[in-house]
Amino acid sequence: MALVEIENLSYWYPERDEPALDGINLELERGEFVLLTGPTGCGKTTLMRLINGLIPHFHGGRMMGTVKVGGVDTRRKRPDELAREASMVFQDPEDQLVTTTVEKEIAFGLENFGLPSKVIAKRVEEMLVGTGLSRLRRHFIPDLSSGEAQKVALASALALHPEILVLDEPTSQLDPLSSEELLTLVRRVHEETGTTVVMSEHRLERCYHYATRIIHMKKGRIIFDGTPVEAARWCGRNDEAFVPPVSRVFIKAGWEDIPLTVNQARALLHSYGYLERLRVSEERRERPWNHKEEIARAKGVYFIYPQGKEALRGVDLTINRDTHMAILGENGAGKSTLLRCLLGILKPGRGKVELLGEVPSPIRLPRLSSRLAFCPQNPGTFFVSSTVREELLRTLLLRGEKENEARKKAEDQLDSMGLMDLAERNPRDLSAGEREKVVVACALLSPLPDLVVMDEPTRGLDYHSKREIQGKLMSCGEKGCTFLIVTHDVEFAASLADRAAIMGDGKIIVEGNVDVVLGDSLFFSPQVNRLLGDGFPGVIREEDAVRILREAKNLCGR
Amino acid sequence: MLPVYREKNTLVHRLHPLTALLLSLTPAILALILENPLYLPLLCIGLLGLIGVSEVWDECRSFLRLGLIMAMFILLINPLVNRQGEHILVYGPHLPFWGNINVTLEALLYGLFAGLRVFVIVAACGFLSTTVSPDDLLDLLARFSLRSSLAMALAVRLYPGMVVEAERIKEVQLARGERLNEGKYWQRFKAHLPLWYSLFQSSLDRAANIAEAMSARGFGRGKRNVYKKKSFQPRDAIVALPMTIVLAGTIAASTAGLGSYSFFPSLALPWNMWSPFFLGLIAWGNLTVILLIWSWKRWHWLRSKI
Amino acid sequence: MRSLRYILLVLAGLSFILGARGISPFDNWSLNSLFLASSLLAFLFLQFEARGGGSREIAALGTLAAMGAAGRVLFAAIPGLQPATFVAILAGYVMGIETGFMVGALIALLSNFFLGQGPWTPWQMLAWGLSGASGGLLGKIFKEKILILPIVVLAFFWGYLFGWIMNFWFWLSFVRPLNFGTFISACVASAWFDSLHAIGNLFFAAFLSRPVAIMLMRFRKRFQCVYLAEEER
Repeated sequence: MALVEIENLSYWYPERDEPALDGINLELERGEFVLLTGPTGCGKTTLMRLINGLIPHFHGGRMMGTVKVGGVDTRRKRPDELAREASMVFQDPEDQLVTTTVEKEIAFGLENFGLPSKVIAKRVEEMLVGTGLSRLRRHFIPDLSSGEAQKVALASALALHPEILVLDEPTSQLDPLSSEELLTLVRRVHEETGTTVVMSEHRLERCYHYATRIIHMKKGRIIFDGTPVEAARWCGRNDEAFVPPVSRVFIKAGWEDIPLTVNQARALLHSYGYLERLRVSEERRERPWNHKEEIARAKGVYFIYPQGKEALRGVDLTINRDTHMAILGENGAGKSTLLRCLLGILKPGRGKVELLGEVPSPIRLPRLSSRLAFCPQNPGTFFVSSTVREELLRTLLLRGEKENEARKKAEDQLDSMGLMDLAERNPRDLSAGEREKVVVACALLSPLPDLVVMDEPTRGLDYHSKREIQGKLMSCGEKGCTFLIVTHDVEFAASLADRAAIMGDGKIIVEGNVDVVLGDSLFFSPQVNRLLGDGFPGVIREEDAVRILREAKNLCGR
Repeated sequence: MLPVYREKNTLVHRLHPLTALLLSLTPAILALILENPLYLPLLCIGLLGLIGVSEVWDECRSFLRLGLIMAMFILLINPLVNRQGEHILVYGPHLPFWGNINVTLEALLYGLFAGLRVFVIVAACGFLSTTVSPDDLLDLLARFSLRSSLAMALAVRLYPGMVVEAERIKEVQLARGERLNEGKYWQRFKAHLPLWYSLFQSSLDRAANIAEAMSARGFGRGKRNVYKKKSFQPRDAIVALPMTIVLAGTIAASTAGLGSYSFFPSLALPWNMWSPFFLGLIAWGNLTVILLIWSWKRWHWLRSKI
Repeated sequence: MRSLRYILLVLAGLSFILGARGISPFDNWSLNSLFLASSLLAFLFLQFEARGGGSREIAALGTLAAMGAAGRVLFAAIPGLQPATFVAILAGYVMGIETGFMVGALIALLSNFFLGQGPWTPWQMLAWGLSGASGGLLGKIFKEKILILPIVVLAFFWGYLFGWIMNFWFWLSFVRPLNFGTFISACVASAWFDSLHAIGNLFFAAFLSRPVAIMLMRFRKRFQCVYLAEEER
């Protein structure tokens, strides 16, 4: 008997006419590691809620067909029993931790089941040690980093000793380093305990090859179900991009064998001797830009927070007109603080800041709104209107445009950004990708601003949304927009920026041409560079790698 | 982000929260029971001693300052509004609807007494806030009202994040051109309204997600266990005993009317045959505990025994 | 627990009556008032506890309280403006008397967790809690309609009432003799702050009642889990 049996299942959320799931048939066996892929809104989350009984017990709605967990229909089971069989980790740690300290958080679920205190104590200890959180046991939850907080969420789910661990894009709010830590932890749990894992994730390079089964969904249906190797081939045939970046390059170059990791890919290339035979001229993309005009500048900037943390320790950075500058670096390196200093929200303790020819301050900042666009990390802080259309209109009115003209411009922008279908929706109800698109649409309203500042624009976005936003930004870049992008996403930085800076410990460690900064490193480099880097140190973009691999393919007649 | 409480290695910080609550509220309750001005300074000194020996001077400073300000306020206001008392010190002007503003000796002294009382109470609350972690206080609340304590724990956990989010919303809207820091009260208020919408909506969205996460972890099942970490130790009994004696003694004596005192219409003599009893009781209780805390810090043997 | 609840209430009433007649064991209003407020609070908390409530209710309470307290940060640039009373009243209006009370009480407790607890805590909890409960009462009267004017009047009124309740505590505990004149003078002394509070509430209620009530109603609707099982084979 399979652990989870789903038969002919269709499901509608309350007050929705479109089904979220449409005729799903699925069996999950014990010990599997299932990776769910598919675009946002394809029903991944709904499927997971179904497995642990949140649907129908919490969300209500309309359901056809049956879901059996452990042989019993979920509708006949009590929701709490289901919670114990299939524990869930959600996207945002901020939205799932409910108590004040790490220990208490792990104990919360156990308390709900009325377990004896001795058992609780044992389980809490076990989880703290097993997940490496014991150092933080008495820490106040709001003081944790989001990576640590998500680990706590995972530990609290595991503390229930579930048969199935369900993870819904658990790393979408984390930086790359903490994501890798979390995914490694999930892998370890699967390996060492044999817990069945069902996970959806957009950061595929960490878990794709490890999964025992890939399920690809589209519009509420399962359209592919098989092993990772088969899945990669299937994606290749059907032109789907839900594979790790390195595999995507091989798919796009038209290869038959699709490797899943950098290591496999290199082995593949070596086995045919491609890497040695390829020597394409090393070109760098240098866009002509006017070095003269400074858009923003920080000179010897120091900043210390009232709590005593010295966040900036002598930062020098100049952003010239027409550059696309990407700032990378780990959490706490001072990236966000630098951004706030550049915008004038924080006043540097020492040093000078200039923005668009002025010394920025909270009073001057609103006056710059027609020349400066700021896209925050969390679009939730950006939206204040109840529809997308109003949001665009509001941006224009705040810039001081006339009502009639503003209306026309807003319509034009909705049209050109492909947002017409969403115009009357509340921006908060949109998917992460759509939300970011609205923010970008507001930022790029004409007349184009001189400077667009973006803080982590790709957090939680899938490949397609990322490409779409990247395309919009590129086309505006050509019209003379300057970009300053703070990001963790090396692939995104590589394809959009022409200059890059790496920050660490409150200082700019290195700054220069993006090919050099990102090409010549082990961990700050994109996957394609790790693949082809020794032959082509400057290759950091997907398109370049695809070109090279295509050449390689032709060269050897494969 | 919890500004007032810091983890420290003293006996007080190691106490069970219930004992710590008794320890810090005893001076406050005494200050409320005792109407005789003679005893308050002693209470005050005892409390300051407790604060000092528990190493929370720095954290308590804001409380002490607040207590002092409130005390000064009372000291100033009381003689002005209080028209009782027989010994008039200053004859004030006559106000319509109000009468004569005369400052009497009795009112002045009562002001001093009430000011001291406020100071002791605020300082005691400061002592409580700085020596018992909010988390432990929540655990106490959980004993008799689980749901509200859970809601409270959730609120405490969410608050710092929301403060940060409020700051972020302000920054982003400033950058979008909202003039938040300019203009008249009215204009500023209107400029702030959209921000409020944003914070409110994202909080409600968050509430929905948290409710889902709570259900996913089996909340609402019914019978729930509460996992307690702290247990009673001998040190709790040793601290609680003198406090209980002082409290019980004072309450018993006052109920019998032994400590009563009256400021009006004319000051009575504060010293009476019961004064040594009260003074001795308070001094004994405070000294015992202070000494205990002091030697706990310095004497390993004591530390390991209790 | 049930009996404890009523014992508390009886004790509170007894201490009040005996205190007023001057024959209580503590004919001492400083202590009596503290006892009165805490036992009343304890009674109301236990009442809430006994009523129960699932994860949605707890989550809503926690977030609304956190927001009511954190909202002050949003308005830091405008002196004297804080949305706590307004949040409590609106929460009561839409979500009911008990929720309103709890939101108000928790806002007070929460603010003091971060600013420091004091003897004022129980009274603030009571005052804000009652403002929320009164909002609940108003909501009961007007059912599902959102009528701005009554909310505005109530919010404005609570600006002063909140101050008077706090004055009442202060007066009972620290001002002697206890007579009408001294109480009035305490209120006169705080009139400026109370007016600021009342005007802030007035603005909040006038401009935000409708959008916030609509948001809360939408949220409450999400609470109601409608489950239509259809088994078609």
